[in-house]
Amino acid sequence: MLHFRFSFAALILVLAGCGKRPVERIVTVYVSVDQVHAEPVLRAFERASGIRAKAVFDVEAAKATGLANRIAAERSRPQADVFWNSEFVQTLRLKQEGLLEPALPASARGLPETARDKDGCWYASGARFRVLIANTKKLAEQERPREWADFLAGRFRGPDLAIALPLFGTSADQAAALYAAWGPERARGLYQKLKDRSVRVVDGNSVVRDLVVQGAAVAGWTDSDDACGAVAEGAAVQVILPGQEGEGTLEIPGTVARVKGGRHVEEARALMDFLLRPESEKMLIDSGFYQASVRSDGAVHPCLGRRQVVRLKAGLEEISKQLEPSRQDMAAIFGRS
Amino acid sequence: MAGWLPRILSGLGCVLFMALSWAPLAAWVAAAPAGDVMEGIRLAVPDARRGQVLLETVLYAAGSSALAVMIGAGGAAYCWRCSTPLAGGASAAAVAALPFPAYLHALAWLPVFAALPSRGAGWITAGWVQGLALSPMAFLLVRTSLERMDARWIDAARVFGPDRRLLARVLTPTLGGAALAAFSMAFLLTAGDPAVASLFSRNAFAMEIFADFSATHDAARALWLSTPLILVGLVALEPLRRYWPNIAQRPGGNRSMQPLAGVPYLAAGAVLTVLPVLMLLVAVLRQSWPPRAFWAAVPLSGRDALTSAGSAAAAGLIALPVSLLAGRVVWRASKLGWWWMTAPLAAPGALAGAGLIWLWNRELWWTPYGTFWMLPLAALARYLPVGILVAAAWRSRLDPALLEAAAVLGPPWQAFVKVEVPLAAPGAVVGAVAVFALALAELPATLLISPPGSGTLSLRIYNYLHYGASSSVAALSLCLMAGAGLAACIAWRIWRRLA
Repeated sequence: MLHFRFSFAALILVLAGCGKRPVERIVTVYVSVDQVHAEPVLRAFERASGIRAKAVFDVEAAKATGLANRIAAERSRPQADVFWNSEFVQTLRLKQEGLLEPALPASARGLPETARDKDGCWYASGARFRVLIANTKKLAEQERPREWADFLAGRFRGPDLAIALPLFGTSADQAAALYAAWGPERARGLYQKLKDRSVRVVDGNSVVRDLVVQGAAVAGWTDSDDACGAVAEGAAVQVILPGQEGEGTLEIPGTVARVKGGRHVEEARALMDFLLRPESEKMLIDSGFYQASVRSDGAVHPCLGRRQVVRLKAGLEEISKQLEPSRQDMAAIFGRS
Repeated sequence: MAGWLPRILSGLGCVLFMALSWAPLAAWVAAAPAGDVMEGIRLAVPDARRGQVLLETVLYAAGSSALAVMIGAGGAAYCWRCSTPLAGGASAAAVAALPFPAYLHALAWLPVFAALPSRGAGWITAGWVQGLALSPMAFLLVRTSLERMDARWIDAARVFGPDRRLLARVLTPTLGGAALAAFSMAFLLTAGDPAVASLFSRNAFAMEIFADFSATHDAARALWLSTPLILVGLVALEPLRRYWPNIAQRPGGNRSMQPLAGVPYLAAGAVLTVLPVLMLLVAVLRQSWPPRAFWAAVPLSGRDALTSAGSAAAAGLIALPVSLLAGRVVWRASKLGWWWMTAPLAAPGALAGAGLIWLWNRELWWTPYGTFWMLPLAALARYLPVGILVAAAWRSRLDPALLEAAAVLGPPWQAFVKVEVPLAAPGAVVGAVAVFALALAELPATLLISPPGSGTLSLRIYNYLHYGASSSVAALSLCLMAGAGLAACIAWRIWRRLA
């Protein structure tokens, strides 16, 4: 009798499950903005639109490069509708490979020319910077590095300095940017000398931050969000913007793009529209992921220690073109061929 | 037992095993284009840098496995048939902590190492964390092996000499084989998983494979790059093959006895078995307080928790019949058959994940790519051999007279269904639980194949650890520990009832 009751209950449950359910609207988004910052924005989008955002987040070791390669590998059966990238080089690369589709979300209309692709394949929202981070207990004020090339100074031991492997994410972007701004020879020379000095090469900018915070490294190259995060947590570190007396530092705008062949066209447009709104950008600035708005007059977050930042002169397209040559050189220099 | 039904079902089990565990790896071999063989060989032979990374990885895996075995064997020897509170606590801690992923232990120990003058980063600290995380597994394997000893032997030997001599001449040789098997298993699980090393800023060889595949999405490259690690793994499988039968013998008498005296390190082993669990609890509770972080992090992770539990449960449920049926074959398998069943353990996780992508990311009538099912498939590709080994070990503990009597008195299919399957079921249940526990913590393959909207709790915790969001990690860890510990305890009770 007990078995009969259980079977009957199970049958009812199965039949209940077979009933018609309303069709769920979904959008698939590949996200290289840190999960801890991106998720509240996506949840806000879900609440506002009723569309479920199915996300794939990157991991520290592969960053945007891993997601962009995944989009490329899925070109015959695209899974993603939107690529929400925390940087720009991989987005431009996908555009060059014909893997992005033009779109014009309503909120993109207010963006300045520099923050949008001329063909409408991508739009920028929020920006970070490449910065130096120094441990203030290990280095006195006058000892701290001020420029990228200060890592070659004799006062530092190579293993006391840390950089992320310049094959992925913003570390790769920085290499490409230096190739574009300085010319390949000078930029390659810098990285070769870093390698020759046995500077620590680790698998992510957050690892660089952690090493400097712990004092295992005295200084490192990282992103402004990682560095400002450490400052906010009270770590004994200083964020230093290099090149402020001359060439400037790399600004890294986040980008939003529609993936070609994505199945949820309307939902993708709605998500892009939401992500490009000033309110969404502000959410990410407030949470500490971005340090500047692409809409502003150049004002930046106070954690960077100045009101205005001198940006590197090289344009985004120019930097993007240098990605592959610089990547090949970096692979050869750091033995990852 | 020469009936057709058992043979067909065993064959089916082997086919399923091939499809689940071997297919992703075989896909890689198919993916390697013949024209690039020279380039492949160049990648397979490590250059100076990769050679150093490989050496460091092997030393790290060997060191952490040795630590796990020392703790596990010491604790098991102390707790064996001993009814002190410490022995009971150590056994319970080992069962509860078995499914806790190593990166949870990293959460507990990161603040401790950060406070030390050595600054916390490095292979030694990563090895310590990994060793503690694997010690419950070593504890349970060695303790199972000790079950075969009749306590009366020990009592008889104690009449003629001190416990110290008993330990050296009787217990250590008895433990040796099981300890080597546990070492081998711990080594394989460590060498293929770069997560803990990465959290301590160290680059393990498996991370090289993951990073290269992420950068290139090149099927052949990942296979060639993995070759040295696979070869190391195959070498590490030999002690497992040779000494697994030590774990798999029939138990002796089960009367209790006084704990061995004069061997403080055994008690230290028991203490160290309890320590990781206590450390975790303290760290998680301390960092979760005030509970604001808990309430902020947990709702965001609800889907991930369900996905983790669902995918691990799916992997465990699929592993249950396959372990039961294929375990029947392994039990009687030749050396070659044994290698065939266990070789997937030698493949790094990233290779299994990449193999699944190569296999399923294509135009088919239906493909699991991009769906939830990639998660259990990845877990099964890596850990199904563990389930089969456990099931086979249990089988070899059965009294053959029972099976022979059933074969003589009843038709073969009835003997199989009514006698052999019920007798073998507890082993398959434990094997399935082992797959569940390992699947819950799986990371290297999941990093590559995680489907949209179906992230796992382990993936989230790993990402959060990188961001330094310690209070959120602590809150999620509390959920994971509660779920995993509860599942382990339920499984333990089911097993005790079945056995």
